[in-house]
Amino acid sequence: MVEFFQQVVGGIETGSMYALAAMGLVLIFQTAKIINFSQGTLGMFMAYVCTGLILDLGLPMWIAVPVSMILAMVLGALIDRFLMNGKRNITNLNREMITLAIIMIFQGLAPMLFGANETPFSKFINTSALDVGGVKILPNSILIIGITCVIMAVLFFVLEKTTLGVAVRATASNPQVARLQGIPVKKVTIGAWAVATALGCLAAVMVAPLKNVTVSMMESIHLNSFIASVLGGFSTFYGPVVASFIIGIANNLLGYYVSTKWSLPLLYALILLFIVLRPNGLFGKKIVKKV
Amino acid sequence: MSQVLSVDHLSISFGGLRAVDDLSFHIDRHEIYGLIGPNGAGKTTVFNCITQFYKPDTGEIRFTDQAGKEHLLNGMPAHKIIHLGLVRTFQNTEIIRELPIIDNVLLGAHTQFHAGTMANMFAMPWARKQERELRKKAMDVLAYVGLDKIANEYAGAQPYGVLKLIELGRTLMCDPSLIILDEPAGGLNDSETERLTELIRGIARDRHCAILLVEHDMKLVMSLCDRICAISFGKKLAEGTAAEIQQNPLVQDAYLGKEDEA
Amino acid sequence: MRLIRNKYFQYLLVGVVFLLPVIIRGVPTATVTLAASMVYTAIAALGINVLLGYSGQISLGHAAFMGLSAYLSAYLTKQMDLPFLLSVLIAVLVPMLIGLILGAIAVRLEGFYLAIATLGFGEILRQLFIEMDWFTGGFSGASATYPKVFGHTMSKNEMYIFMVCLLVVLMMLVYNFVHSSSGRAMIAMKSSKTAAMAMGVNVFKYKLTSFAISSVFAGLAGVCYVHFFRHVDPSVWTAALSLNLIAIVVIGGLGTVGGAVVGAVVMHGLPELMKGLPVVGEIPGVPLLIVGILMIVMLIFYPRGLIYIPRDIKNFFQKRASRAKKGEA
Repeated sequence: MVEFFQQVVGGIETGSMYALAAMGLVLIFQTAKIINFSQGTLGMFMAYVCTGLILDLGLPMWIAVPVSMILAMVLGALIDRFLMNGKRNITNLNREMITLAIIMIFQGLAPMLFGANETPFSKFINTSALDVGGVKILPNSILIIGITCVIMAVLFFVLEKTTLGVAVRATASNPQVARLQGIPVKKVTIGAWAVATALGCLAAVMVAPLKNVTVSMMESIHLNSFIASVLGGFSTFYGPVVASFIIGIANNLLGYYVSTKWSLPLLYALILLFIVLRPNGLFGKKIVKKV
Repeated sequence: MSQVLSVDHLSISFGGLRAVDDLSFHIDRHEIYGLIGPNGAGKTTVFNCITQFYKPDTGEIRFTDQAGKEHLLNGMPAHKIIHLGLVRTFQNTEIIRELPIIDNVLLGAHTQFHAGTMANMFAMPWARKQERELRKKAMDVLAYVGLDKIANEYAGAQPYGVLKLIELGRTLMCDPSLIILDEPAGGLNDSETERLTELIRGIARDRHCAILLVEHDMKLVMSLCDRICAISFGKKLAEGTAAEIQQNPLVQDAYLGKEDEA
Repeated sequence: MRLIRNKYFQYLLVGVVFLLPVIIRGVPTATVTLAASMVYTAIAALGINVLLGYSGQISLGHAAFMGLSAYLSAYLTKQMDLPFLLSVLIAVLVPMLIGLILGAIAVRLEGFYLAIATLGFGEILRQLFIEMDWFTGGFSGASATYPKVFGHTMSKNEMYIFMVCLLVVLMMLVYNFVHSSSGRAMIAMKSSKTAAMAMGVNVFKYKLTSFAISSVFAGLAGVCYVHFFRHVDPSVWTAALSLNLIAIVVIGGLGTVGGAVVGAVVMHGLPELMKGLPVVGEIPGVPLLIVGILMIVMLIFYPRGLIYIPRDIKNFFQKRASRAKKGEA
């Protein structure tokens, strides 16, 4: 029983990181209607930047991380403003191709600017694990889960209860109509990109202690955030987030009770099966096309 | 049986909205039949139900082919309908913009091509022969609708009126017994509409097929249709000849406008 | 001039150009290796072009098909000692069958969902490659030899010639396919599923067909890979490769036969070119960076694909000529 909860807690922690990345994906997808394939790579790059701030500039972690997130927002905004909307009528497919190219650029830039060596990254809190009824939880993990919950709460509050949120949801629902209503759709997408990139940065910084800062550090989070978006369905903001936690927990449980080698492929296979039966994901809604 | 299509007690709802309500009508062979009604009355929905793009909640749709065999259309996959000789056009002119006009028309003959993937890949002589023959037929159709001069132009570059004609030509390729036209004159000016009216009349006469059309242009409807069905809010208001429909008070009320009170 | 317009002739020319490294004496073997990379990538990209360019479906898992057939062919020829042609047949048929299954799943999914489902599928297969080391040799990979056909073992150059001929033949087959009723049905399906269905196109069947074709091509590419490079390991068959294939097709020209080849040449050739440059070539990451930048420039300013460049140049000069004529009149 103790082991069960141990795995669940671990799953919530990894699920948090997936959720942050997935939230970034769905924000951009809903507002700009494209898949940002570079989400993980940008996070990786910002983790390098953060490392640089800590090691070269000597900034403490609790300053370096927020600063990196702000820099990430600037980067995301610039990408949307100049690359995504540089020319008027780029097709969405081509925009997605551009995000692929962005992967190449930043995977090239990272070793160029920061060197090709793996750099360790310390956790937010380094104290040892607490014992809660036999389940060992690191304070760092609690912090990660806590930060994620707070951020999710803030984002959903903004989306549901503020005018800004209405603007975002209107853009997500129908950009042309939103524009007619006076909503600055361009600014909304820039904002979405900014927030999404910051979320990617945060996820990268959270996973950095586990994987070290290297070019491939975000691969697993990146992949799983995509799978979570499919499972949760892209038509809601909360879908992928919920699915992220499901994936995190399920992966851990499958790993413990079945096999660690096969947990992920097995999970993917199950999700694939699920998608065949419910093509719109857990929370997706089917839209009937009008002919 | 001289009927080509019979619709019995057709109903379909979307969410809580009853789009089509217990609608029944039939179309005879070689008849030009019109469906009129105000915007949102459910006319295109009726078409979509007949052609199985939507699955009706209740009602039966029966179609009798060239050979006289009767088919129940309900539950048939949408792509099998054309095999029976029932073909349609779309309100939004579903044209393949990336292809030349003649290829668009050739698409209408898709069901007549025998060649499968392998035969096509290896350019089997018999496959190429059939392609040549059907291409010639497509040119004849294009000549009939007056587009043969621009057969190789890309469809995407054409004006709206031409797109409508391409769609019309496309329907002729399968030698249909019933053509469903969804607002064929939509967006056309007066002279284009006149040409279209003559074209439709010619098609019904020369190709011995029935035509079911939805149109807002009353002049076209009244001059072309043998019988007309007027619907409103998914329900049938009246059915009859052009003259009868024009005089029907219910129809006038809902659609044509009341007579001015003196 | 007529002859040059004929597409078959053009594809033969492409083949000849690719054969130059083996015809001309004194060309370093590294060039042949580079060219071989371009050829097998082009073959896979041709398949992706059918899938994405003509039927509008995204797959991010096709690298897995390439890997599967590579491992299969290596295993069948080496461990089971089957004749080359037979093992190629099997090595291509298996991905095709799996591709059909994936296609059946794909019918229910569109756009993004399809992309990610195929991505997950590719990852599952890649994990299988690592785990099933009795078959694949795990992380250290599997090896194969130059193929032995009719008692004659091919040399490296002969294998390369075989690959080039295969590419040319496949280009012709794709061209035939696209300009037939099947190709029309697929293009129609991509552009307007509604119109296609109303005209009798069985969308399900054609989606399956395009998955089958693209997985066969990916399988052929994998076979070429393993019998030319003679070694294969799981690190090659990643989602990044699948993404690369899509990038190749888009950069080269989506929906064109030559686009796949042009894209493959550029995507392999450019980084190599970069590495060869003095100073710049030494710094790690620069080739990737430059390719990425070029890709963005292309996508923003020349999105239809590199293959349209000759036509646009021709149009440009024709317009100038006709304007000059009008000026004189």
